[in-house]
Amino acid sequence: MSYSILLEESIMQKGIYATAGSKMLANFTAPISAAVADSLEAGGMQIAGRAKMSEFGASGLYDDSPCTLLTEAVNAFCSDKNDAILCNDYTGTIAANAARRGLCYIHPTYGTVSRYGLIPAVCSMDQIGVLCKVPSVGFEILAIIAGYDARDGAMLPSANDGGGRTVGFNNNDGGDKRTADTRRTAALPVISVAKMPLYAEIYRQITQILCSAELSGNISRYDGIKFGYAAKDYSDLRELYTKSRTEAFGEDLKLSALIGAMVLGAMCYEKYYDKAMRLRRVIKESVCWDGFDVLRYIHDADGKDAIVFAIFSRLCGLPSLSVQECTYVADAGNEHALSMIAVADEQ
Amino acid sequence: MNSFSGYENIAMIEPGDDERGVLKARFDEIAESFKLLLKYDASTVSPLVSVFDVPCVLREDISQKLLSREELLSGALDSHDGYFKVPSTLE
Repeated sequence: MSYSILLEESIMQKGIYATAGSKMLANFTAPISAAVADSLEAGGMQIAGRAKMSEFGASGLYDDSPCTLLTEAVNAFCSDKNDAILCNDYTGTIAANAARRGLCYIHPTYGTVSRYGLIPAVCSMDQIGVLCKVPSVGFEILAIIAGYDARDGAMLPSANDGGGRTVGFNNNDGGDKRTADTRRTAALPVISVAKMPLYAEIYRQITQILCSAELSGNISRYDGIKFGYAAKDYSDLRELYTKSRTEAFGEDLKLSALIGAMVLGAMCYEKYYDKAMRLRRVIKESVCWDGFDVLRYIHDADGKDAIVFAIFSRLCGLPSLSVQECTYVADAGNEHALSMIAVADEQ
Repeated sequence: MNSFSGYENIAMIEPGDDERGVLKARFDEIAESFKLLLKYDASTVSPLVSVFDVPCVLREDISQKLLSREELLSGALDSHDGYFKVPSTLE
């Protein structure tokens, strides 16, 4: 079946503009096509156009204020005829927005979808996922875009798969967690109980440090010389660099450049950046899959903590499925378990 | 150079007074919140650089032509004889 799919403005299509939501790339025409764009076309999918995004996808990284562009894009998607949007949601903001609007966001295992032709933001978390209305459609699309690509140096060789799956639950559920979800998990053999992710209380700081460091490095290439926006009035090279970046970057990008400069500097490297990388390892290694295949995190009433669970999956490189009332997280390469849950849910 | 203006210099950003005030307020608040990390001990583990610890394998050094010189220069501010042209750096 052919689906109608939009590509976020950071995913390149040869000859078409690719702005990454930034004035810096307002005049940039993509010289190549992203691997996912080629895969969609080869798979008989229809690329219907571009979807708006926040500047380099950084909205929500430093505060909770809603990004107008992102909200508009999600709202427009709710009522249009398109089936899915491919996005790079490294902050978890799109997943949280999707859950609030009754949509679904599938975040694949890090390294299963090629990032060739994706404008880079945070390389250790960049991963193209699927925003969709019907989860089973999203997984069909994911199956088309997933696969090894030597042009992306951080790809996993393959994803595992298997038969029956087991689901674990967090402690926010209230009441009898096991009986409350019998219908949802009828297709799955056993149910276990899991706790909240470790150190969830400092996820925001860890992601701000890691994302700022990587984002500041990636946006250092924008200097007004090679491509992108260039300031009109300057007297020397340094002034061209500085004016171009100051005039073209928005507030969140400037902030990421400044915080990146701080955490990577000699005074703060060990105290913050190195520490955040170590804590990321502790968080990742705290996840134990003994006895279950999927962790189910129930969102609070207003859905505000949906982003916490989304960040958890990005920090650990794990696949996740964000839906209206919860986020499911599976072990690396175990998207199959998430798709089983999605299908059971639809039925 | 461990100050806001020092970070502006490294980041090559020079906001006007109003924007600078907003950025500095947000920067200070975020930097203050980073101190929370100091309460946690992670000294016994190594920093996580790649989520799956995939070994860095050097690929064969094979020359590939991805883009032509014209394509690479198509978005440049200015070019000359097939090279990027930049403002003069010496008087």
